[in-house]
Amino acid sequence: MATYRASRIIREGFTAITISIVISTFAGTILNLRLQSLLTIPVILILIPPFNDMAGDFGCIVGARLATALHLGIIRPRIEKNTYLARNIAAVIIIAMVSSIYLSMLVYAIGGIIGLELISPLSIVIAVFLSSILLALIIIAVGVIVSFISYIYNWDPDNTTIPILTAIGDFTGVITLIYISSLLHII
Amino acid sequence: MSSILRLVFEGVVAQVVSVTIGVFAGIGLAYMRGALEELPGMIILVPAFLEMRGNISGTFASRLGTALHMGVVKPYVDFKDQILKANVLGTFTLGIVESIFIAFLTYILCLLFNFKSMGLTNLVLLMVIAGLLSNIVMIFLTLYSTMYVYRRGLDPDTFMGPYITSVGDVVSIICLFIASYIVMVVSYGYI
Repeated sequence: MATYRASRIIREGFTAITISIVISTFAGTILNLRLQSLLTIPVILILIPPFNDMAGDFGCIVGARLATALHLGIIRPRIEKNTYLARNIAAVIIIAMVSSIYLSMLVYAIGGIIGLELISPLSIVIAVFLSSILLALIIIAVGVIVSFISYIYNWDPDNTTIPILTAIGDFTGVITLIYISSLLHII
Repeated sequence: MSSILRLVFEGVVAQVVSVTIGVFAGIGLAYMRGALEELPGMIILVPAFLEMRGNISGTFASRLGTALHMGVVKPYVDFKDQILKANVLGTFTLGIVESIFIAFLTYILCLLFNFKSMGLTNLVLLMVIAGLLSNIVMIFLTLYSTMYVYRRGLDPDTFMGPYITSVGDVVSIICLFIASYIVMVVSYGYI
């Protein structure tokens, strides 16, 4: 049963969000190291917020659904065969594939319209597609672990899972995006 | 099988909306290249600030979703309601405290990695202004849209996360943009 007091929200939120901020500033540090290339090839700069959004959204969908399912007793906090869980995992991976293709096309189109320096559309698609599937897998795995642990320790998974998942998404997202872009000689 | 199709459909629709909005945040970031060069260290706090904003609004919406599903909160904004009051107060305090924390953390990282930085005062000023502005906008937006989504018979757990984090990104980038100009005017005396 969730109880809502400002002090509890601040206390539980503070720990989880502080951890997520610390992880995110390391993503920022990586961006700072590549700042000059990002300023010259702004397409990757445009990709960063929507890509992190996508990572965060996987985290929110996975986290919020796990939290509600745990609160309602649909799933138990242990690793076992569970149709509900399996369906959700499959769904998130399909969502990742479809949305990554959409994102690459959108960035390419808008980049063209506002007249930014463009790179090969195929390399954008490949970079975003590979990074987002990898991200979805990592987020699902971490989401299950974090929500189960917080539920077992009687912390509201609604307060803990999403911050941790989105931070890991940001960090992994930036690393995969920058790394794969480097591999494809985009930046 | 219908439940997985429904989740994929709702998820893709939500993603398309959120990614589209996110691209606008990205364009905002691309147009902020001037401020990113003028205020060294600013790029370090951009992911953390967006992350914090998304988290605070995301957990706020997630708690509202659970409370609505359990029936302990009615789907209307009533600031006399104790549960809503506690949620708004907690969300606001977290936003300010964490913004200041980001400023200090960025400063420490700049020292550690020997990066050029805009200085602690500028960092704190930048984060306090951006934190306050985004707090006000995001709390109202989250509250009213979660209630609206629930009243329309949609599941806030599926819709609010994607929506609120991407709208939060655009709001945060705009707030950072405004804050960066204020800092440049106050500290450097020019835009």
